[in-house]
Amino acid sequence: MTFTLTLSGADLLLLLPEMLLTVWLCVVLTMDFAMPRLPKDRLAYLSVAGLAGVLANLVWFDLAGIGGTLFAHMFVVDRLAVFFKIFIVGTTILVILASVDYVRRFRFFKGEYYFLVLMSALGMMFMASANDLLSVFITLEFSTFGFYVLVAYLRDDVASNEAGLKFFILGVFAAGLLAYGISLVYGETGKLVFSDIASPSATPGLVIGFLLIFAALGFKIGAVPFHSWIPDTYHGAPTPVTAFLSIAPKGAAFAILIRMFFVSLAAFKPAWVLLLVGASILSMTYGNIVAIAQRNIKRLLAYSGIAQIGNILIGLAAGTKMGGDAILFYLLTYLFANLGAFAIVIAVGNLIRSDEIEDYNGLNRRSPFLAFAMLVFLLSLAGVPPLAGFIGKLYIFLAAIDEGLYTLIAVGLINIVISMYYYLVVVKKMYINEPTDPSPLTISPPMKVVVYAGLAGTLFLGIYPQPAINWVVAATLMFSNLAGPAAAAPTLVLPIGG
Amino acid sequence: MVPLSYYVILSVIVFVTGVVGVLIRRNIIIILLSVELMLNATNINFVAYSYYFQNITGQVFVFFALTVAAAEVAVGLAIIIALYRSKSSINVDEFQLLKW
Amino acid sequence: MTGSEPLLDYLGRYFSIVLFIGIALAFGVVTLLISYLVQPKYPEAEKLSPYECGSEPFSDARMPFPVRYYIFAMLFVIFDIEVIFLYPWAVVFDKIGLVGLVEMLVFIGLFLMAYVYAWKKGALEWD
Repeated sequence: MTFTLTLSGADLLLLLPEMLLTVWLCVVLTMDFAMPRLPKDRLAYLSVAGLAGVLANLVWFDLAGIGGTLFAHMFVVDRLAVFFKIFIVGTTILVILASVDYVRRFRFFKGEYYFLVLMSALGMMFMASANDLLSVFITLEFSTFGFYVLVAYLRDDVASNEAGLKFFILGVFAAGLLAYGISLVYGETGKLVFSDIASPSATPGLVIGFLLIFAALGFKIGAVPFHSWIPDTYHGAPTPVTAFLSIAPKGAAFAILIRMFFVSLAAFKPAWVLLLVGASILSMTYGNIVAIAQRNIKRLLAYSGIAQIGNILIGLAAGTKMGGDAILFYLLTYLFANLGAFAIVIAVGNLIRSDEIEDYNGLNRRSPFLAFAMLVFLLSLAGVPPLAGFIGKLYIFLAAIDEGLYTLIAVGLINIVISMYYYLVVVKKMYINEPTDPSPLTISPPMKVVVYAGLAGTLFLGIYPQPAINWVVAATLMFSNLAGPAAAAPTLVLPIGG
Repeated sequence: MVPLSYYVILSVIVFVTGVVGVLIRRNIIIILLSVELMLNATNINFVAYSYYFQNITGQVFVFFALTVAAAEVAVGLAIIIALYRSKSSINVDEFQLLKW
Repeated sequence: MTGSEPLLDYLGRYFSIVLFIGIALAFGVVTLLISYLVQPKYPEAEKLSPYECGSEPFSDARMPFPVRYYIFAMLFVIFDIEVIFLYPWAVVFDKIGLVGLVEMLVFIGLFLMAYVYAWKKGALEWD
């Protein structure tokens, strides 16, 4: 057997964002142990600076259209990968800014917190570039290891430990399913690269293998019936970790799902559409109905997150290029609205040490800014115009209409009404109920930055979505040969904005 | 020569043992061991297929699966120790603070 | 290995291993059996109690170990598994040239950093 191992400068360039982040997380860890008396807030800003550099690098990749594959097609850099990397790095920056106040509460290992967040982000960046099943397995585990520790980070808090344990057991179980599924697919095809395993015939091994892989990724995104870890893990984990966990890994997992369904399994579309339609309907309905009964805001957002994932799965079920566009756009709207809502929960939690919805009574009296921002984020999650969430849902539904998935759309519309109810209950508590303790609340500058970023994103994507739509349409250009009438139209003009 | 199907049947048996172990056992250490069984079933599959196809990819996967398994055990033990300190138990049924 | 080889011939090549296992088992069983048969038996309470370096046994041997052992075990597992990547690298070392060497140096460098971290944080101290 002969092989060559060469890495040219152009190859290394493709790895530049990951290499930058690797060096940077080593710097953060070294500074943490080499300078024990350094204030840990500095490490947060140092991490943000490094991530900003990575973000600039990725934007340059996107603008210059730099792309290619590495390591025998295991690692791919294309517009889709760059989109998801920008998504992940952007989320990480906001999460670190939102963590600064919270981390002060830790008694030990404050510096390592930032290291672990950066490490998970690095794992997810590799996930976005994973182009074969071996790299899917490694990168998924890589990013999840950081999260196992982060979820159980509050060492003296039994709830956090329990959340970590549940997340860990179900996480490693999913890893076992994923690995076994990959081994079956390898047994049928002898290959692992996505584009090579596009087999024309559905043998039992291939079907079971891909079902197991889908189950593992379904666990990652928290779609019903693989959602059982979500409420407890979200509830027990430190709130900034919950915010991170609710957004970034989902984006990274959708990068893999899109590649898997649109490249490897494009030939079997009629079969997997049913699977995805089922998962989508169950996720939306279950998430929204159970969310109504929640008294804890983190659990409420956990169930609402399950429902939002159901919405995103509609785009995957459409299975067209436009469905892909809609997934990407929806993830952007979800990033700003969900991260914004969690930022408010973190801010309020830092001040009053409670995450119960009852304690949001009269928030408008105590801090009109926080209450207004929460109102905007919740309405965006519910899909009220002219906010981002409305355009996201519209885009997803339009993609589904093109494919004739009318049942799915009907269920989706009913679910919007249900979700409106529990979001508005929180709004009513904030604006109409009387506060038990009317003392005003103030928030710190880094938290303000996060809330403003969430507000800006939610309003901008809602009122003037065209630039973002152009961006996501460009990111999925490689799928334009997929079947479907939408593939013919490269740009979409929406009735609002533009 | 042992036919390929023997290896696959062995790996299915090991994998199902692991899955059942995770689902019905209550001791966290046993659950962790069951997950290791699942990963080892994967390794049997990969080595057998790799020999069958005369293709090195499967063996590469085994290396990484072993590494991931080791890292899982390290992280898992750390979480279990943290829990044991506060609860003095490693039985999953004891952890009902958050609804399961 | 050929596919047409009869199963008996195939198993036959493992006969020496079976013989070895048999002899090893027999050695253990026979030694214990002989000692059991020829030993004089005068049991009393003191003789039946577990022997613990001459001192009185004072508690159950199944006690929890200090958590330190787990930390060392964890560190050992992580640094032990690193070798798994060194073996294949060593096999093809002369064929992959400078790039392979640099890649392995980067890999070991990252491990070294983790080691220094564990050291500086006092994970290697016994107390």
